[in-house]
Amino acid sequence: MLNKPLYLGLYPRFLTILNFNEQKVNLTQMKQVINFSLLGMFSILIWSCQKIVDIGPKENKPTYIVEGRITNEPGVCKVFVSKTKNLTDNNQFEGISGAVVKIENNGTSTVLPETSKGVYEASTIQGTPGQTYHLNVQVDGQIFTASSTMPELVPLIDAYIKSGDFDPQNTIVTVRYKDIPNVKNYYWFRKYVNDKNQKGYDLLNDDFTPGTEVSERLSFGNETNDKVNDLKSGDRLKVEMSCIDASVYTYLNSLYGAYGGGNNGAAPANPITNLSGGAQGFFSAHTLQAKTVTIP
Amino acid sequence: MNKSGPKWFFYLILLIGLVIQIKSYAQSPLEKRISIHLVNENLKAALDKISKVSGVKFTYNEQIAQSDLKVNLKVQNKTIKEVLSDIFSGKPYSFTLLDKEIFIRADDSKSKKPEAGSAATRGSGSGTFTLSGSIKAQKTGETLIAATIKVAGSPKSTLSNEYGFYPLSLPSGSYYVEVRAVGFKKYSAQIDLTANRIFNIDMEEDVNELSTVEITSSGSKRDLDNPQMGMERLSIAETNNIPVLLGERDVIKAIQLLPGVKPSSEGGGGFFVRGGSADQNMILLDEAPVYNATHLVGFFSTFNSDAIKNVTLYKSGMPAQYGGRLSSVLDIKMNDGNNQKFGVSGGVGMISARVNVEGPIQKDKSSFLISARRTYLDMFLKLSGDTNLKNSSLYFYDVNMKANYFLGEKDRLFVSGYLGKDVLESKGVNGIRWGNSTATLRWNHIFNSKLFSNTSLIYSNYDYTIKSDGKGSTLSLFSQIRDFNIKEDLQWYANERNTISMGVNAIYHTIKPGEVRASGDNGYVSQDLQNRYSIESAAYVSNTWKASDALSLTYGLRASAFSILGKGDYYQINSDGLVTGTTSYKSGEVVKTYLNLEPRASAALQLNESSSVKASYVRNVQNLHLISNSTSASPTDRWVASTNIIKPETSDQFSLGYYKNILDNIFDFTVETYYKSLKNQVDYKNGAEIFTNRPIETQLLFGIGRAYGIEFSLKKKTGRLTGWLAYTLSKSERKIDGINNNNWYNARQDKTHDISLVMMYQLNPKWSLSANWVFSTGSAVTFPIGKYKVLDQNYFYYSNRNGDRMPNYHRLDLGATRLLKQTKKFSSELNFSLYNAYGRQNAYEIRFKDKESDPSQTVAEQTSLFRFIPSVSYNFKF
Repeated sequence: MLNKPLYLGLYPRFLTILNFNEQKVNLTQMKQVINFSLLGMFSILIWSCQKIVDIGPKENKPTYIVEGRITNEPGVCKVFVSKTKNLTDNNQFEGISGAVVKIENNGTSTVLPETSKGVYEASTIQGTPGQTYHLNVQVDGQIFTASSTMPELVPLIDAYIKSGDFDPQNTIVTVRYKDIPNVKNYYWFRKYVNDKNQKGYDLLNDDFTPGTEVSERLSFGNETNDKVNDLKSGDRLKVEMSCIDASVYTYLNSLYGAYGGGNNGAAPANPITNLSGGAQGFFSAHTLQAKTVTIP
Repeated sequence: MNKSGPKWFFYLILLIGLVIQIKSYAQSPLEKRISIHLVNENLKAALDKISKVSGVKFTYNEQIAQSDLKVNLKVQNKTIKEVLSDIFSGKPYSFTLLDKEIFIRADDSKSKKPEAGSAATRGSGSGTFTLSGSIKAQKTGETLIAATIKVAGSPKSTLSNEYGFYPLSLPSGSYYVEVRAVGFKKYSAQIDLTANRIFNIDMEEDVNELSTVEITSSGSKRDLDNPQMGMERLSIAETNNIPVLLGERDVIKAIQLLPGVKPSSEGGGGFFVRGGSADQNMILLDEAPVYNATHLVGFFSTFNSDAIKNVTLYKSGMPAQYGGRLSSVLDIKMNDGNNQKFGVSGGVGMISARVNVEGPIQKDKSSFLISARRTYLDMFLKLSGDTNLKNSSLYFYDVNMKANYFLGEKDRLFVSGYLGKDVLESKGVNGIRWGNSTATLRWNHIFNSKLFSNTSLIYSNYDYTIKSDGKGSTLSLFSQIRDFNIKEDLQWYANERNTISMGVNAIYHTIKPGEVRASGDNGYVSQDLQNRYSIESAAYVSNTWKASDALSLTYGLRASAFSILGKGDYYQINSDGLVTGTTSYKSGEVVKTYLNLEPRASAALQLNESSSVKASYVRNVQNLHLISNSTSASPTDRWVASTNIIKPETSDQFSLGYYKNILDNIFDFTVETYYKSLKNQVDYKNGAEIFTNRPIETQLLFGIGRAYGIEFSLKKKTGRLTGWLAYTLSKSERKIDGINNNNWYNARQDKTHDISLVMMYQLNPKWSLSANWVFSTGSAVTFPIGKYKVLDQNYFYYSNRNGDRMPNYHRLDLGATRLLKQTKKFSSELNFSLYNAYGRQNAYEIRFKDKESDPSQTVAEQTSLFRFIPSVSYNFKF
């Protein structure tokens, strides 16, 4: 049984209280607010407990998972095909071979060859903003299709760490971009620490920032309980900004509901996929830009 | 040797003995048979001897005690009724049964022979008069709610209303009247009624200063003949003795221990009544609705017990005067303030400190009360060396104020107010703050002894602000709901058998969903989400009719209207949730009006002295919906009014109950069963956004619900040991278009079994002990059935909504109170409690994640919160 300060126990509760999750929409800094407030108050008095429990066997209904993307950068057109696994299985990605994967645009259809088990990619094609791409996956007698339109590129102007924003557990990287007015824009920020993908990503829309120059604070932290993974001087924090379309925004926003968490907020549910045919996952045509900041 | 033989024989004897006991109690005293021989005894001596032999008590006044009537009697095995009839035949005395005692009174009419053609005698309909007045506590002048007034020789009884007012219609004559109220000594008086008469009653307290001691009013009988069912009434004295988390006495925590009421989550302040959701409870503080009744995200409620007089919960059978929420009404009334003398009381607990000041403005007539409470632990944060902690604030405070003015025999004015705030902030700027404020102005007017009126003006406000400071830029979100309400309620005690209540009510709601203010370089543009305006109005009439001695009925109708007003834009939305049209309305223009009829009917049939059955049907309508992503109400949930797309929620509830008083009113046994059908229930789309400037309707899904169950409770009300045992078996389900493939699924608050055992024991005059034990099935949750990898991370795959269960929950809390000092001027006590005494690790949540030591495996990790939490608090009273 592991004893932890209460704030970790109440953290998910406050998470939902502010409708706040790892893919923050507004008001990112609340995470720290809660941490400090609760730490001060309750860790003096109360400690929460965690323990591993056995919830019994669960019967998986194997469902196809298709994750596909095409970007404006070459060599990033990739489609992963797999199936859902039992909870007791290991966490390795087990791809499904033998699928026929095609991407079609403006009459031109490209077949993506399988480069490793379940991974289908082509470095020959890349996407262009404004174009619509159609994915077609045929596997085991089933057909899954999806469409995504690549939005206009919104340049990532800058990424930097403001003074005072460094903390071993939670460092803020400020990013700047200028929103395009009169168009509905959706932004997806993926974060990497020393090239390791962070589970938490940020999602923004322009409901409250139409056409303005935005400075958004993105949180990088130690996602494990091991102090070894705390951030330190010299760590490279990479921000990958993608302009995505509405269906992908909907998927990524609802993906939070499938992260395995506690039922204390909205009931967990499968994300809203833009694939049709009965598969889970998503297909996205998006622009891609990256900037890296090193912790001084 | 047969060991078990004697054992079960012993139990059999015990059982037989018990049955005989019950039987003998159930027998009316008048039917008791005695054999007695009396020779020339004075009446008093004769009655004493009969008492000795039969165990039956007699009540009579001085005049009777000194009567020189001589009794000569020799009987064998005759009923007391027969014996007394013999003794008093031809004599100016009569006797009647009053509860368990026989009341003897002088009765002049008996000795007169009716002459032909004689003028007015009693019973010729010469006049029915009304005895009325108010019932108060002698010591403080506080009016008493629901005190019972009974009259000997008649099935008549009545209850005092929320303002302590009672009327009793009787033919002219002389009556022996008895008044009972929980926590007070029985009051009795002989009253001559020859005209309408005002008779105010002051009741003497039966309790120690601070803690509730033995409730001695023996067998204060509950109203088996009152058609009101589904109602629980708690006195503050009872709630103060229940051990709770961190020692903060809390009426909401006490309610969660009643049958049919389930707490929302560990330590949480929301509650579910009969399968309804947390926003379906109408919480009223002196008639003002309280939108968020919790402090500190649910650990404490906003109600300071020092300021509260009475708490009533209606789970079904809501009287026609209440409306606006589907599942329950929690009607909380504040104390008026001691109008006899000035006093200060208060206390310090682990988390907060409280002080209460009250006193008379005009002795006996007007008084005031101020109660304040604040957490103090955050002051220690300032002493911390850590700069983060130093600049953090985590506190709440609340203030209750009340004043009442006596304007004349027939008029009274009440002013009450509440102000509360919670602050959760760090580094001085980031954080959230939220709070309620309410104010009520009420005028009681007694037209005559039969017509009582109450006019109220009410204001209620709930708002919160979320602020964020990003070094050079700030962002804040402000959201608010504000009500202005005017009400008129009349109670007309039409005649002996009919009590009619009627009234009208109008509330003007303004909802400000969000005011976003941004400054600095973050790029956010300040904007206001559109305000929403509406008027919720109702008119009702209801009659409680005593059809016969055994049957009483309440039938009534509440007609409610909800008008949505401009200024504002309202939308048309297609089945995909996309806006297809917008209509703009000018200020005050009516967008749409929803009209609804809400019948409220119930009946009670008294089977015998000690038992009855009741049935009721109520329809409720709700036009304010709490859009919430969490299971228990949290401060940043959003209240949304019905719109052209969001229809009013409705519920129809049928319930049936059986009530029995056992062992001379020492135990109350109740069984109630219900079926509730809900329509136009609202839920979220998957991945919905609460804070969006798009129409909120694009994020919502609609459907129906149903809840049914059976509740048992056994309450012990007198003696050194008091308390209750409650068991609820229930189910609550929803069927929402777009969720769970449009199939029925368990609501999150569905918990099959629910048991509460609450015990309070007066060990000796200085120590009282208490314990509660609760057990419930885990709530319905959704666990994954599989997993997959996306974006290089593990995500989980789900199938049926809420098809799984959390582990069972159970917990024991212990408490003890020691009276430190008690004099006429000062008393104090020390209160100890231990929450979760055997440290059960109750699952607060279960998360699925990668195993820490081996990320290639998935584990289910359970978090549990409070174990072995002790607390101490000190309370004093001047």
